[in-house]
Amino acid sequence: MTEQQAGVRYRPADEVDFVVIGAGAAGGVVARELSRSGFSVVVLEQGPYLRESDFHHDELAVLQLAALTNDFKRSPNTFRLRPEETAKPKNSVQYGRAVGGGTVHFTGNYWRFHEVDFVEHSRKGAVAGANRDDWPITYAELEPYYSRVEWEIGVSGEAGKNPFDPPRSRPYPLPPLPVKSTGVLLERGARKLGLHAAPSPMAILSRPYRGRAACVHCGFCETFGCEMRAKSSTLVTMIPEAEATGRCEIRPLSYVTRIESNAAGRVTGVAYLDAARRQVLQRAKAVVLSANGAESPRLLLNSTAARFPNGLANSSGVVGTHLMFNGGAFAGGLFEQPVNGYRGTVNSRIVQDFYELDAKHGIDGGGGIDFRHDLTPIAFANFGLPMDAPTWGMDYKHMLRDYYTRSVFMLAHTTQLPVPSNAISLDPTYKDAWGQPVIRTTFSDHANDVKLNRFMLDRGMELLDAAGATKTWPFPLEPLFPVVHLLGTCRMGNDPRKSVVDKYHRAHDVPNLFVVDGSSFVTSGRGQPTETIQALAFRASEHIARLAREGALRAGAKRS
Amino acid sequence: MSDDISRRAFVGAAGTIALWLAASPADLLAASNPDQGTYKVLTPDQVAAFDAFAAQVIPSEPGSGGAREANVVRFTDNALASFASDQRPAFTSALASLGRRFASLPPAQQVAAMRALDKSNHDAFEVLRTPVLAGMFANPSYGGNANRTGWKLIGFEDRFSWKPPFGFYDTPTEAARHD
Repeated sequence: MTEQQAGVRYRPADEVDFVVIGAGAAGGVVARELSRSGFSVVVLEQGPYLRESDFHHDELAVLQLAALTNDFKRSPNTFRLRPEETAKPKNSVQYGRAVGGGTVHFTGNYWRFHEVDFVEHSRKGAVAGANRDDWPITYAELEPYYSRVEWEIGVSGEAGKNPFDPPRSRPYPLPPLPVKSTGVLLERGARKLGLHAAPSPMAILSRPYRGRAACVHCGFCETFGCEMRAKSSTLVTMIPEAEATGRCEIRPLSYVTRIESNAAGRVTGVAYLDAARRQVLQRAKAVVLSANGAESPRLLLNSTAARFPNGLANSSGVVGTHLMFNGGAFAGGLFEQPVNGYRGTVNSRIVQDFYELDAKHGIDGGGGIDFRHDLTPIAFANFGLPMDAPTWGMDYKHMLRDYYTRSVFMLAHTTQLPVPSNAISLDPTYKDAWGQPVIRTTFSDHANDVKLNRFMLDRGMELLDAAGATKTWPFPLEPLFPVVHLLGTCRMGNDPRKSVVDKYHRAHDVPNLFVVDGSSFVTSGRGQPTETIQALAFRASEHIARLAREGALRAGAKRS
Repeated sequence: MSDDISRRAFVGAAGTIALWLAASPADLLAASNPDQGTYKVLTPDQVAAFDAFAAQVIPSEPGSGGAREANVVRFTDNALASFASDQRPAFTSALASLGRRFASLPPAQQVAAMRALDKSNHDAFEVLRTPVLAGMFANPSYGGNANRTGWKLIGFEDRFSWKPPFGFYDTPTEAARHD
């Protein structure tokens, strides 16, 4: 079903307490928390409202045809390496486009950030060519909200098994998912090298939880929707709970074009095109922007007004800058016996020994590694074999036959430094199917990150060797576009000249506007940002609700 | 192979498959469960040429089906008539560049013609190779992967519900091995 569901309806002319833009990882949490706190909430979502009956194990439809993600045909992007270049059309960023956002099709890796991720700047010092900063909050301040995420949505894992885990106040609510052959091999390799493999924390149910069924290990997590409701997307957790309050209306197929503001510098409502492309203005007392690290800055930049000539909430000029999406390294390994990595969750063990690198390496940041198999058959035939393998003919056929069930892929997830010129901006030339300027991505790897990815590739290939691979092969190290994990483009901070939102996600320039999603990140962490996005969303919601209750979001209220 | 060349090949393949496979849900519905009657888009000559091409990409062997047994040509005709209709001009021109007599050439000369095309116009070669892979490994509802020929080849079982052990190494004895 793609149409609106039964439940509370607000009229656009009604001034609701909150409009939330985006029904994804963050927007789902914010909608649930604010509606549970007694506020009226309208959630505007660009994509359709799909149900588990809409989810199929159909690689052609889902993976290759972008059934759950932004459609580049209607919504193209442009790309350039450096700000002085003219950007050319290129599919550069990818995000979930459905109620539930990226949590519908994600893999479910739920890594908490570590303490260092919040204070790496003061611990390690400045890096030339990057603009790293400490977060305005610490891991300790965010820890209770990580625990809330894990218990509210259902995360499987095993506390105490990963020696690099940051401190936690509660264990996981669910035991880890079963170890796969890929996980056993990672354990084997790690043991030989003196490293530590631990169960992967995942937002997938290992046991029934809060009325939802446990995972049946179909093997179609990454890029697919879960027909069992075992994947803990906001579609099956936060969104129905928000709707159950009777105060939250989810409006799918609503394409937001502008956040409206008045002469006093306050936001007054949100303009969008509905499914029939009719212009609608939903009035609101306050707005929470949770559209993701590409769409949130795009919308702010597109919402200029006399008082906001450089875009809404952009007196600092920081909106859209410092784009990060996590780096990575990818390699394959062939084993003697069937691994059958296509069955079950994408991975089951991780290694975080390289989360913080020894100073002797001269590399900033770090990463984590998993062994996985996330190439469905068509993708495997296109990209799974070694780069020097034949691409057609009898030898190619035989390699497909011999490699599919016996291959293991090593994926390293790494830091990406915040570089000011890496940015999301509005393309001056190209328009999308709704007549809006398209997303322009400017991105070049920082030299440190290139070194880091090379380092992690080497460590990952050593792990494959140590696990007993009969052959290993690397994949190219450059980022593969379109990229996911869209971070850092409305960074939080205490200084309004250097950041877009304060430590509670309130826009420095606009008292009744909040930006809550991956764009708030000050640093990238080491991959797997979703749990942090949701911990921030729970924390932000608490403060937003408090401010609203105290009347601090009303016109004329003094900003504390 | 240098990093640069391999990188280009990789990105080229990704770009081609994205181009080839970009459709709306309605198109997909139109493409599913095709009948086995006449071809919708391809001419008899094109059917013969593409059948020969596909059979060289994933050849048939005794006991192990290839593109031919998977009905890759049927899948492709069906795709070009629906969700990949915008690929028709590129497909037609790429196929023509193999030469009018391609289907009737001896196998060694077919391989030589394909190598020449791959070298002179890699993108055109990929426009032809990509639907062979999609037709070999996509869900059989689109008319290819007949009798699960592609999935059987690589050992993918479409059971969609598994219990441990999933593979050899997570059997209890193997998982407990500490060597």
